[in-house]
Order: sequence, then C-alpha cells, then structure tokens
Amino acid sequence: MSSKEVILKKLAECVVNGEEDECEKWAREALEAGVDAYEAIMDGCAEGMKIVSRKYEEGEYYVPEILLSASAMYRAVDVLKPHIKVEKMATPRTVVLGVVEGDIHDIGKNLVKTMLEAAGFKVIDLGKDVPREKFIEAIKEHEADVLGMSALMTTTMPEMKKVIEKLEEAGLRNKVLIVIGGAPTSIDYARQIGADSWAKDASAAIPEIQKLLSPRK
Amino acid sequence: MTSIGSLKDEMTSYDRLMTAFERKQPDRVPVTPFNREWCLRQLGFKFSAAMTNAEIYAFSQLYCIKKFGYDMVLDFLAVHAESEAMGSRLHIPEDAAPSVAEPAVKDYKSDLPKLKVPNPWKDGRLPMILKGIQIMKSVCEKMNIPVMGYVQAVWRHTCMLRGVEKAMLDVKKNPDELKELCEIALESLIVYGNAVAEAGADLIWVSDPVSSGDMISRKTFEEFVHPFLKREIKALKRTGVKLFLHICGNVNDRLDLMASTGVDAISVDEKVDLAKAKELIGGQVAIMGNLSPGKTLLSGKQEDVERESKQAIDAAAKGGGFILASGCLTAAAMPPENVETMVRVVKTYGRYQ
Repeated sequence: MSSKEVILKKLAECVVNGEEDECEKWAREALEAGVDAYEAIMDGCAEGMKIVSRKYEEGEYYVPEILLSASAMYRAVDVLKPHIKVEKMATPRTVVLGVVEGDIHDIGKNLVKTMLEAAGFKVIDLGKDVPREKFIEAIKEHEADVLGMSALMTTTMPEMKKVIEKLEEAGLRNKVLIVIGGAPTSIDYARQIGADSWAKDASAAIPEIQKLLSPRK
Repeated sequence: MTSIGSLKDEMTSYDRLMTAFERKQPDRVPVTPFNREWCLRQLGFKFSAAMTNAEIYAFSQLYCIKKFGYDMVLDFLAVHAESEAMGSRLHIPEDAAPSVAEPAVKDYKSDLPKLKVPNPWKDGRLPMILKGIQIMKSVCEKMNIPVMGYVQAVWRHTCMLRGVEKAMLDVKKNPDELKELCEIALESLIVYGNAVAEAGADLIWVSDPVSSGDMISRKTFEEFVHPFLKREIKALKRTGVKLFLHICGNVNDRLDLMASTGVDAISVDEKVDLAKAKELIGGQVAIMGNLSPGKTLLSGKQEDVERESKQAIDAAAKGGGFILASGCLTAAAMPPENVETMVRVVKTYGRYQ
C-alpha cells in the first residue's frame, strides 16, 4: 500500500495530466489506505487543479487540456465525496454563478465552478443564458455570500448591470458580494456597473472571491 | 464635408472597401463598425423580431448606413443559422442574440450518420437570411454600398453542432469523430457560402470565437482548425467574393496561420497590436480593426473613440490595406455618437500616410 504522501502526489499528477482512469484508481487507493477523503480532495485533486490553472496562465495549457484535467478531477471527487466527514464541511460559503442572458459562453464559468468546489465552496450553478430574475431568486433562496456573473460578448455585457439594478430594486445588493468576469470586461467596467470586484480569468476568480470574503470573517 | 483639413470622399463605399481589401490605398480609410443589434435598437426593434423577419433586419441596416454613413451593411450574421438548419436547437431571448440550447450531435454514434447538408434555400432560417441579403443588395447596389454576407468558420460551426465544451474535450478524447464532424461542417458551409454569394453578398465574413489563443493551443489550431478553415476559404474564394477572417481574442501567436488560409483581410480585436499585425502579415492580407466594442465603443466617451480611432489609423494605415472597424460586434446600447465619431475620424484623419 502506498503512503499518504505518494497518494496525494499521484492524485495531483493524474489531475494535471488528465488521466481519468488513473485518477479514479488513486482515489480508491486513498480510501483503502485510510487517507481522509477531504484531505485527498484538497491536498491531492485541488493541488493538481492549482498547477493546471498556473499552466493555463503561463500559456502551456488551453481549454481542452483544462477540461480534461477537470474531468479527471471529478472522477476522483465522485469516489471521495461520499466519504467526507460532515464536520469538515462546516458552513461553506455559498457562491451563485451564472452567465448572463443571451450569452452561452460558459466554459470560463464552469472552470470557476470546478475550482471553487475544489476550494471548498458551495456553488449554486445557474448555468448559461440566465434571466435576471433567476439570479435574484437563487441569491434569496440560498442566502448567497457571493454572486459571480460573466459575459463573453460585448453585446451581452450590459446585462450584468441590469442584474445589479434588479438586486438593488429587490433590496439585496448589500447582502451579496459581486464579482464579474469575461473577456470584454475590465476592472473599470466592474466599478462602472457597481460590482465589487473583477477577475481577469477563471484562475483569478478564486483568490479574488477569497479576498473579498476574508474581511467579513 | 469639405471644410479645411477634412478629406473629400472621392470614391464610393464599394470601391473604397474593395480597394482596401486589395491592400491598396483608396481615397480614405473605410470604416466598418460591426453593427447588428445596434441597428435594430436604433429603430426600436427587439432582436427576436429580426429572427423571423428579413425585412425588419434589412431595413435597420439600410436606415443606419444612410443615417451614419459608414461603409458596409451586414447580413443577419452569427445567429447560428447554419447549425440550426442541421438540427441544433436555438434558444431565442426576446432582445438578445440566440444561443444553441441543444446541439445536434449529442452522441457521435447515433447522431453523426444522420447529419445532412442543408439546402440553403429551404432549410431552417437560412432562406430568411438569404432573402435579407437580396433585399439589401437591391438597394445598396444603386448606392454603391457593399453588402457583407456571413458564413461561420468550420470550427465554430462544429462547436455549435457539438457544444463548445464537448468539442473541446473531443480534441483530447474523440479526435477522429471530431474531425469527421468538421468534415461535414465544412461541406455544409461551402454549400451555404455559395448561396450567400449567389444572393448578392459582395464580401463574406468568416468568423470564429472559439479558436483563439484564449481557447486552444497553436498545435490544436494546426490540427483541428487550420486545415478545414483553409479549405473553406479556398472554396468560397471561387465564388468571386472577397473574404475576411475574424477570430475573437488573442491570436498573436497564429496570425501567420490565419493569413495563410488565403483570405483577403483579417479582422482582429483589441487583444492584437495593430502595428505588429501589419508588420507580420500586412504583406499578405488587409487588416481590419480594432476598437474595443466594450471598453471604447460602449463605455467610452467620444474623445476616447476619437483617440483610439486615430491610434488605429496611425498604427496600421500606412501603405494601404487598412479598414477601421470595431474589434467585434458592437453592443445594442452603444451611444450613437460613438459611431458618428468613428465616421468623422476617417473623414478628417483617415489618410494612408
């Protein structure tokens, strides 16, 4: 039987290389060796995803490579998740995510979701092409801490402002932190429409959200 | 118009644009903001109205080119009509562009053999788009204004038939099936492109938002995008129309591959440095670009539009073969003054020196 150290290293490696079967195999190996499931996800799989997003930033990995890694990660997470001890999950922060109405470019949003989940957040994923009202309903229903919105087209970008206006009307604006993203957006645009923050790409979104949340602790 | 310091229009829009596409120097720099929903908005039409009515769309294009005086009208582009006609189901919001809700090819084994090349004059929304081209052509021909038709790039069409995320994963997991799908996509676009030319398009825009360096590596581009794109361009060139290729996003590492497809012009967005692009591929293709549709044209003031238009002209006009354009489709909410400013700048500053 392999040591915990080796197993965690292998899990990260298989995520980075996008080896799905191997990833699942090492997740089972982790359980057999008595490695804590939560630790296996955080220090194995999520570590792997961190390397993946660094490789994306550095121009070594692109979307197909990231998706393959994410898919490998999920194979392991599916095995490990049922074995996570409940107290480890105490009060995870909730993030509502969605691509605004009229826009179906959801790859970036999906990557953010993957990495947020890997980092221990509870994610309510509304998908793509999401009408304004749905964002409001979800934020209310799940008492979300953060709203993450994205638009990949200039033509749909103004919709994010409309969602924020709706939130104001509903009296919810101060209850939730808003991070926006997507290729045509910028920090200036985020300020202009009244969002709290902006992430330049998927890998920047997680530290940005963590940073936003930390002073509220 | 001929106030001191301004240029006099000596050519028609048609001649001006075609001359620039031939990498020569027309009377002034042509200007082509990519206005689709923006034109509908100027007349108070919702986007969805144009999804079923060719007249409404054509009217909005004709109204705006008359009112604002830029150099080209656009057909009803980039609404996934080619993919819809092959079985992808669209979601059509009331006042925003449609999206693919359900791709045609969910399972390669069962769906791939059923795909058929649509008849552009019969299937889906294609006849409506062709009709729009015909309407615009009948008016624009008399005014010597060029009509732009639109055909998806093979890779975009493939992604709209399969779903972007699935296609991206197929690069790694099902490369052979993916290439077979690219092959059918190519075949259908050649047939459709011929119909677009037949309907009266003077030039065709081939666009792809899913093959930049933000999405796939140069290696993936070389294997899955370039060979099919090259064949598409080659086939469409035979119709006699001019072609320009637009890939949204950071394409700095593949401008050479884009130019080598045989297109007449390449349109880039603000992630590409115009001067560098001109230096790199200006000897092969004309360059179009690259005012930011978001930062500048939607959110910027007139002085921002003026400054950036001048910068673009300074960076890429010298020697000819440059067209001032938006980096991608403009937003419906873009202030009309910003379009006016683009036009004013080319008329006062749009020299090729």
